[in-house]
Amino acid sequence: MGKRVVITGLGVVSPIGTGVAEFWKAALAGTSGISAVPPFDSLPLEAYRSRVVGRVRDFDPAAHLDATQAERLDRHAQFGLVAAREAIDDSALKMDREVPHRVGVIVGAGMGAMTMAERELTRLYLELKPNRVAPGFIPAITMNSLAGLIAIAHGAKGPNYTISTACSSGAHAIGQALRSIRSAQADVVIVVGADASITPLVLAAFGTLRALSQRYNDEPERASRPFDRGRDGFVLGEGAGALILESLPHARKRRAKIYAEVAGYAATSEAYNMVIPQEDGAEMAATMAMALRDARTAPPQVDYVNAHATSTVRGDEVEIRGIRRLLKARANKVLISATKSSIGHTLSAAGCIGAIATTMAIQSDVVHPTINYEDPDPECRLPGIAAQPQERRIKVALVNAFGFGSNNSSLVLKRYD
Amino acid sequence: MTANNDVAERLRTTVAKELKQDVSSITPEHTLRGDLKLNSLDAIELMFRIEEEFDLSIPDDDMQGFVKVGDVIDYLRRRLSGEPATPAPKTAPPAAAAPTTPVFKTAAAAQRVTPTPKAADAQSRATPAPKAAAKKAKPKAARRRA
Repeated sequence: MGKRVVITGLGVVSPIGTGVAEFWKAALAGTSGISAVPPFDSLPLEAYRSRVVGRVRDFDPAAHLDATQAERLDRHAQFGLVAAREAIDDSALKMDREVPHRVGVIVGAGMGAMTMAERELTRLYLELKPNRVAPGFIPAITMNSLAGLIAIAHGAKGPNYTISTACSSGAHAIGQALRSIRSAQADVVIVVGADASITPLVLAAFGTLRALSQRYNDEPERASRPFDRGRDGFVLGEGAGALILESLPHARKRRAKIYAEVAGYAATSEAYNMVIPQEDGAEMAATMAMALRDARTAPPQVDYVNAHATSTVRGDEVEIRGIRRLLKARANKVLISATKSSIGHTLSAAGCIGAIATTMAIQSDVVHPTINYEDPDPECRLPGIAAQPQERRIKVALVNAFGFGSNNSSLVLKRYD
Repeated sequence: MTANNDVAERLRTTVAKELKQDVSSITPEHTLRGDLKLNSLDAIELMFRIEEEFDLSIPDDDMQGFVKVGDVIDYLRRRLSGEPATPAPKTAPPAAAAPTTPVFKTAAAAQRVTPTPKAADAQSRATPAPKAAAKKAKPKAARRRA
């Protein structure tokens, strides 16, 4: 089965804070990072169905990056670089003491450089100057752009690739890192999920797809409300999450602080519908079951589920159905929380940020609240969902991330001691 | 003379703007790649800005001669005094128009050594690496990367 794999560093850029300490404090406090959509040049905002977003408001690229990177890199890449650097610092990984080819980078990127893509496309058509298109456009919009930037920034010469599975990209990146280390392709993998797609086109398109909340445009902080009867769609968020994964022997050898173990992973396709999950939740249950088997554990051992729960009417219901189907009686005992209640749906970053929230829960014996959970929807009601933080010593946790294109992923994190 | 100084001043200001640095920190002796730390893409962005500022078009072959800020100043003085751009195809569309050839090659070719006789073939001419950016890498490595 290969070596055990542990998490030794964390980094995050999120609508409720940049840096894990700030993020976790805000998550426990039940802070909402959802705000009114910023102006999109001359576009009529009132024509947008959803006008609330989980924007990273306090992010100053110049404070973190050099002047040209701050000006030229796409926003998702800036988020990803900053989160990666925090995670590396946190793990005390010293690249000059590592064999560079044994340190890989795996990125989850679903939308890539949408901000830059929209800007350059618009500029080209408005200005009609093909000779002035940014020369950095192509190396920025290829999905592996961020993975390359991180490798260059840190001299990580191991396996370097990008997983693009829409909203589960970040979770798949963690899972693939687990596989890479187990199979001895690398000793350390810098994993990052990043997205920054709050753009005029993307917000409009998720809106016309009827995926977004539109009932709370005047009360942004109430818009993201997983499992609540009043939920009506997800809130588009942005951010990045980074984790340092490494083999247990490697972490021990360098006496790294160990947060938790990444014990299992499963990746499946529902082969069902591009944007709607299979109603009965059987596919989600199967994915979670496979991840638990991979982790050599079983449903009765699960203490906590960091749910995908985006706050869509159907998605939340189906996920709870899947959890009930798999965990049976245990479903009434597990704690469940939806990180998206605070930050919205950060797309490719979601799986990584969910894994970070889970890691912090394992570390601190408390799970963060699901905010706006005021009127439990009977269709997806379970006793372990709460609008307050819940204390519990967590030994085994599931992290779910499901994506458009009918794809599912589940991770199993375990307490390490 | 005054006109000449104007060119130097305008160029230094343009470079300073592009690099978001104080104009006093840019001297003609600074090398674009080594001192000012421009990579190949930065160099192209800088050329865009210079072309806009001085209202002219700089052929890729000419850019290859730019190592120091002073080289660009000299070049602009010549061009502004009426001297044409060096190579014949100055009416040809600048490289950036064809994404399959020059722009990207620039990035790849940026590490080539200063043109050897061999490098002066058609292929190397198609790669508009500002020579400023061309530095030190061994030809073998450059080829492998390309």
